[in-house]
Amino acid sequence: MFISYNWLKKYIPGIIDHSPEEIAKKVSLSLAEVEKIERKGEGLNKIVVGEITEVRNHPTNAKFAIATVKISDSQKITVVFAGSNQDYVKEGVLYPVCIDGGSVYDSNNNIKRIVKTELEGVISEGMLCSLAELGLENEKKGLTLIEDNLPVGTDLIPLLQDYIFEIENKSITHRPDCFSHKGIAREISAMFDLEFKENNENDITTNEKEKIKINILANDVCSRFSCISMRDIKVKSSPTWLKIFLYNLGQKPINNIVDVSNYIMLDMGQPMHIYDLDKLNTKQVYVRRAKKGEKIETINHKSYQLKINHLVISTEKNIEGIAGIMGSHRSEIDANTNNILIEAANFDMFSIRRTGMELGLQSDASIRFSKGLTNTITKDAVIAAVKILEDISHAEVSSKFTDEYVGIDEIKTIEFNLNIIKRLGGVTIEKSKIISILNSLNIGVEGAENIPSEISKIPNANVILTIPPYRKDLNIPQDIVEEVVRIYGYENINPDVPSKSISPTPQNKDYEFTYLCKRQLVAVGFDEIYNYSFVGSSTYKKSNLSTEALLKVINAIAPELEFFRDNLLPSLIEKVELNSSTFDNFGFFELSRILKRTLEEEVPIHQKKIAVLQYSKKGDSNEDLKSKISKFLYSINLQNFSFRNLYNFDKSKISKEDKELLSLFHPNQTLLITYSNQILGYLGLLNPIINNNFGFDANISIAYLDYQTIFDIFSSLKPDFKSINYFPSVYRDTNFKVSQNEVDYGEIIDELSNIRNEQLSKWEVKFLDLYTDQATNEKYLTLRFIMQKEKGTLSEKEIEEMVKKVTLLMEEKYNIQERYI
Amino acid sequence: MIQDVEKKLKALEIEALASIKKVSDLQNLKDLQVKYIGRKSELVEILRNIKDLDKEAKIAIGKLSNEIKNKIEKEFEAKESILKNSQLETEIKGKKLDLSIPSNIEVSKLHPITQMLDLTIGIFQRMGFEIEFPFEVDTPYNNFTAVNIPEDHPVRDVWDTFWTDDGHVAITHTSSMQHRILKNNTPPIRFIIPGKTFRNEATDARHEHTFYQIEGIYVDKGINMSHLIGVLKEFLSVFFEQDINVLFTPDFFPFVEPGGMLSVDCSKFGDKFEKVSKGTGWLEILGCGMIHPNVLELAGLDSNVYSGFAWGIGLERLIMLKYGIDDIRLFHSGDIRFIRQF
Repeated sequence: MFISYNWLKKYIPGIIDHSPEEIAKKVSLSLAEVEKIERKGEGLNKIVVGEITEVRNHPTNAKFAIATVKISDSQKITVVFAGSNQDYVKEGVLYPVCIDGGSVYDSNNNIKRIVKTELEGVISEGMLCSLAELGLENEKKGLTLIEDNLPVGTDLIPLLQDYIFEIENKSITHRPDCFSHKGIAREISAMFDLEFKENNENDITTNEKEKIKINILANDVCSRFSCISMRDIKVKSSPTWLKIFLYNLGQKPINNIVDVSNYIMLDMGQPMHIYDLDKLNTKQVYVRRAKKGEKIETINHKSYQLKINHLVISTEKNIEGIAGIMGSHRSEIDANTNNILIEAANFDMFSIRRTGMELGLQSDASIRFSKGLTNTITKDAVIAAVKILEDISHAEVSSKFTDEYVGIDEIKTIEFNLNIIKRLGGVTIEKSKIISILNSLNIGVEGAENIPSEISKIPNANVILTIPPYRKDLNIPQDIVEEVVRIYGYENINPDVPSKSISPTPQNKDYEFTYLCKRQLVAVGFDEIYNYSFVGSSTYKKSNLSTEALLKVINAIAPELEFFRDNLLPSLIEKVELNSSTFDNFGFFELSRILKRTLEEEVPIHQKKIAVLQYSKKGDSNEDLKSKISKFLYSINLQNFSFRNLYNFDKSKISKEDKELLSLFHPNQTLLITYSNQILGYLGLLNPIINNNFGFDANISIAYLDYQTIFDIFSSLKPDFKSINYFPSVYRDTNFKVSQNEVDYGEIIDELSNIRNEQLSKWEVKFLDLYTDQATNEKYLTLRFIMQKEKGTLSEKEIEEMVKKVTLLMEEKYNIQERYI
Repeated sequence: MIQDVEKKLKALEIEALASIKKVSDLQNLKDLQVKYIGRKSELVEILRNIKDLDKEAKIAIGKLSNEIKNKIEKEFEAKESILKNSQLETEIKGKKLDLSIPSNIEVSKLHPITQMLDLTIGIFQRMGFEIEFPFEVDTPYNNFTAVNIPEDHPVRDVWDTFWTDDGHVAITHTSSMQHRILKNNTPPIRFIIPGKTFRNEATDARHEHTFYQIEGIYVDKGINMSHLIGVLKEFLSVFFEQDINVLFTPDFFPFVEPGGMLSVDCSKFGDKFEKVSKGTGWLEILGCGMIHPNVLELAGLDSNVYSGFAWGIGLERLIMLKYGIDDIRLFHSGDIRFIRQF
C-alpha cells in the first residue's frame, strides 16, 4: 500500500509540522510497518512548464534537433534535444524543461546537473525532460507529461517532489479503510492528535435526461449500488497533477476517465467502475449471479468462463463486468466515449474472494472488497468522481443519483468495561486519556461521566461506544483494547513475568528419546541433516519407489516438491552428490516423520523413522555402517539385537510396506536388525541399480530403523543390576567347519548364546574369525566361549562340559562339526 | 659336619652378596640368581638335603640356610629394582618422538535446528512450559477455523497454504495445535509447540517454504500483554546470552486480539542485519498477542475469567541472528559443511 505525503496534507493540514520519518515511525509503532519511504523527485531542481514555440534541425548533426522554448512571458531559451523525440516535441506542446543550473535523473537514477552547454555549435540552455528524467517512470521514452493548460513557467518541483510511504499490507488485512489515503490520514490524525478535514462535498446538480434503473437481483451479496451518468465526456490525458499522483503511487495513467476512478479508489478506498453508457445501450442494469455457460472478456483482454455463483453486472443482453473484480472489454472507455455511467457499489467479501480465487483473477478493487469494505461511502465516491470529471473533462451530469441498497451499514455500539484495558493490556491508562484516544478514532463514548477517574475502583466501569461504520473490524471489547493501547503506544507496556506455581512440568519422554537418539547417532559418527518433507516423482522413480500412494500437494511450487514422502531414504540419497564432492567418506542421518494417507483418522498417519546413509569412496561402507549402528543400539541399551541376512529370512514375517522399502536394498547384502521377535529395521548396501540410477561411483550403505519400535523397547527396559562377580572368567576357543549361506552365522551365535547352565553367571559367545581355506575353499568359523561361575573358579571338567554342549548343539541342529587342529 | 656346612653357607653368602654388588646389568643379575638361589644352586641343594640330617643339625642348618636365602633374595630384589630403573631411564632418554602432527579425525554434528530447538525447549521448560508437537499435515479446521480463521474468510489468503489432495493442509503455523491443547487442559495452560511449518512461497535467502516455528501459549487468570513481553524478553535474553531490547508494535493475526509483532534490536548482531532491517534497526522476529476470545470460548474456556497470550517464532530466524547466517536455505540443504560449523 503506497501513501503520498503530499496527499495526506489535504486531510491533515497540520501534518507539515511532522517530518515523513517521524510519521513513518509513528505509523510503524501504532498501525503497521512502514517498509520504506521513497523520496520521489528528490534532488530535482529548476523544472518548469515550457512551451515549444519552434522546432528546427541541428545544422550539422542529424541526431540532434533544436527547440525554442518559452519558459515565461518574457523569456525563451534554446534547447538541443534528441532528434528521435521529434514526434513528441512539436510546436505548441507544453514540456517539462530543466533550465540552466537545475537537475534531473540520469539513466542510473542519479542526479545530473543541467548547465548551459554547446552541442556542436549550438548552445543548449536547458533540457526537455522525459518521464524517466523526472523519476516518474523507468522507461527512457519521451512521452508528454503536460497535456493540460498549465501556465508556462509553472514550477513543477512541488508536484514532483513527494514522499511515498510503503505500508506493509499484511498488518492491515482487517482494515480495508486503511487501503486509502483517507483511512491512513484518519489514523495519523489520531496518532498525532491533529485535526482531520473531511473534504466531503455533497451538492451536485442532477437531472433526469437519462433514466437508469438498477436491479439488484442478488441482494445477499450486493448490499448497495450507487451510480450516476454523465454526458459530453472528452476522453483525453489526465491533468498533470493527477498523472504525477498516479505515477508516484506506482500506477500508470491511462485517460482522464479511468484515472479518476483509480484516483477515487486510492483516495477514499472505494473501488469504482465507469462504463461507456452508449456501449451498454440500455436503461436497465442488473446485479445478478451468472447463468450457466456465461462468459466474459474483461478489460485485460482475457476470457473467463463464469460459474453460477459468480456475481456479475449485466444488461439484458450482455455481461458488463465481474462484480467488484473487473469490467468487461465490451463497455470499456475508449477515445470515442461520449457518455458514461459511474458505479460505486458494495459486494460481499466472501463472494468476491471466492470468485477471484476460482477465476484466478485479482484486482485492486477485489483486494479491497474482499477485506470487508463498508457500504457507507459509495455515494461520497460517486459525488467526488463527478466533481473531478466536471472539472477535467467538461462533462455534465445526465441523470439523477441512483442509489439502490438493501441496507446501509449503521453505527454499531459496543458495551465496554474500561477496566478490560488493564486486564488484557497490562497498562494503566487514565480515564481521560482513554476517552480522548477513542474520540480521536471517531469512536463515541457515552456514560463516562458516571465513572470515577480512578476506574479500577469500580469493577464494572461500563461505557457505551459508538463505532463509525467504516470500522467494520471493531466488534468486541478486545478490539477496543487494541485500539486504545496501540494509540497509547505498545512501547509503553512494561514487561512483567507471571507468577506461577513451582510444580514441575511433565517430561516429554518422546522428545527426550528422540534427542538421545540423535545425539548417539552423532556420537557414533553420523552428521544430522534435515530434508524437506516433500519429494518429487523423479527421485522416487530413481529409488525404485512408487508415488502412487503418496499424499499429494495439489498446489506444489515445483515438481520436486509434489508429494509428502512416505520414506526418508530417497531424500538422503539425493544429498549424496553435494557432499561427495567434499568428502571421500561420510555418514549422515535424518530422524523425521513420514506421512501416509488414511481414511480412518482425522489426520494422515505420521510415523517417525531413522534413515542413515554411509558413503565410502573406497572401502566397506556396509561394515562401517554395521559397526556404527551396532554401537548406536548399544548406546541406547538395545544391545540384545541380532542381525539376520535378508536372503535367509522368512519373507512372510516381513510386512508389505517393508517389502517395498526393501527394494532400496541389495537383496543379498542386507541385514534385518531384530530384537526378540520384532524387526527394528534394515541395514545394507544400496541396491546397485539405484546407485547406478543416481550415477554414483562409490559404495553406499543405508539403514532404516523404526523409531516407535525402538522407543517402545527402550521404554520397557530397566537396567538389570547384578553384583559384580570377582571370580575369574575363563574362555575356550573352538573351531568349526561351516557351510556357506545356508544358515546365518549370526543366528548360530545367538543360538549358542542361549545355552543355559545354572551354575554360570556369565556365558558369552564371541566371533573371532572366519577363515576360508584357499585350497579347498572350505570355511572355518572360530568362536570364543567366555564363562564365569556364580561362586568359585570353573574346573577343567566344567569347562569341558560346556564345550561339549556347544559341539552337540552344533552337530544336532546345524550338522556342523568341530574341527580339530 | 655341621660346622662345615655352616662355613660353606657363610662363604656362599659373602660370595653371593659381593657378586650382586658388582653386577651391573639385568641379564647377569638373572644368571647370578640362578647360580645362587636357583633350583640347582648350592644353597638350594643344601636346603634339599636337610631332611637327611640329624635332628639337631636339621634345626641349626635349616635356620641358617633359610636366613641366608632370604637375605640373598632381598638383595636380588633390591638390585633388580635399581637396575630396572636405570635401564628405563636410559630408554626414556633415547625415545624422542614428534607427537605434534594432528590426528586425522572427523567429528559429526547435530543439525543446528536440533541444537537450538533443544536450547529453546530447555529455556521454556525451566520457565514452566510443557512441550507438544504438531502434525505436519492437519485439518483445515485445526489450522484455520479453530484459531478464528473462518472458512472462506479472505484473511486465509494471508497464509500461502499447501493443500493436499485429500483436503488437508500442510500446517502454516504451529497454532494448528492450539485448539487441541486449550481443549484438553485446564488453566494454567503453558505450552510450547515446536514444529515444521510450510508456506507456499518462492524461496530466497530470507524465505523458505519449509521452516520451524515455535508456538507458545499461556492461559490463566490475570494474564496480560506485559506478561507476553516479559516472558519473550526473558527467553530471548537467555537464547542470545545477552540483554535483548525488544520493540512491540501492533499487527494483525486473527487468533489474537490485541495482536502485535515483536522485533529485536539488531544492533546487537552486527552490520549484517542492519540492511535486513531496512535501516530501522529493528528486526521482526515473532507475531504474538492476546488469544482471541473466540479461540478461548471454542475450547470451552470462559474469556471473562481467563486470558492468555500466544506467539509464533521462526526458529531459523533466531539461529540466523545468533550465528550470523545469511541464507535460510542452508538449513535444509543437507550440506555437511554447514552442519559441521555448529
